[in-house]
Amino acid sequence: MPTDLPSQADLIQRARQGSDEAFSRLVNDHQQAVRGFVRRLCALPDDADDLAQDAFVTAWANLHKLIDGVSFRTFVCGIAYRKALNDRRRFNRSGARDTEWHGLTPQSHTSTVDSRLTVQAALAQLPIDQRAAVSLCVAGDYSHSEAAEILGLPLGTVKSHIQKGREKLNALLGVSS
Amino acid sequence: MSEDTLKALLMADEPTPSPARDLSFTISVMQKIERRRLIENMALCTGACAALAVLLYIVMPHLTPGLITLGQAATPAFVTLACLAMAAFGLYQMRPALREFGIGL
Repeated sequence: MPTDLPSQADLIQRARQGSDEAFSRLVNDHQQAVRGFVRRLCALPDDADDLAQDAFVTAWANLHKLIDGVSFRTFVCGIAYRKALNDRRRFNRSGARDTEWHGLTPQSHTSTVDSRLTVQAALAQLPIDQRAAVSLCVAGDYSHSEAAEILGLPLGTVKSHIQKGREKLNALLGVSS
Repeated sequence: MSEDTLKALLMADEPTPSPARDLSFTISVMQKIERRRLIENMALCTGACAALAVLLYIVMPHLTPGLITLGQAATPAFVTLACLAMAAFGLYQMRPALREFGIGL
């Protein structure tokens, strides 16, 4: 969206100077993309919205770290991903809430059971890095380089995650590739 | 399954799609920002006050004797200055009445 870039740059500039109105407009403009991405990372919508809100707050506090040429959406999604990773590690440590995080009960990988899974549930079976890569580049309209920027991974690793994720999704959904 | 098919499936199965512009979401973000700003300001004020208190705790034992000596020496001058200021203020307030007696100040 090249036409949005000057406007976005202007909003970022004003937000950096302390304009709450400019920052709220940035939130308004990018919340759908960020929430969509975060909702694919964590299955519970309330958790996802909290995480997305926290990501925007962190972005507000670290706006000076936003490099020119990187879109605000990429910046916030990167923060959200790192927060999701941290949350995931915390939930994994507590163990008991792991199934709540996934919104799933543990399931076997037999094709008869997997074929009944919804696409979203199948997505939740993927490791978080593969899920994030597939969410960004297959479900979303992000380029591979944008995804690499968001996930903080090399481009080749992102492509590999997408490939593996797609293969696993096909297998989980019981559909031939 | 082609990438387009998988993309279509993922899009169709999106969990509770969020609206393009959700005002309540934006308000929640701005509330959290205000709360964070308040906490940061409070932390800053508390830190500044604590630093000042520590500084006074360290400095005052050394300053107190000097301040007492200075105060004792300066008391007559302060009293004189205060009396002069009160007289000047009284005269200033009495200007209309004095003008009645033909005294212009």
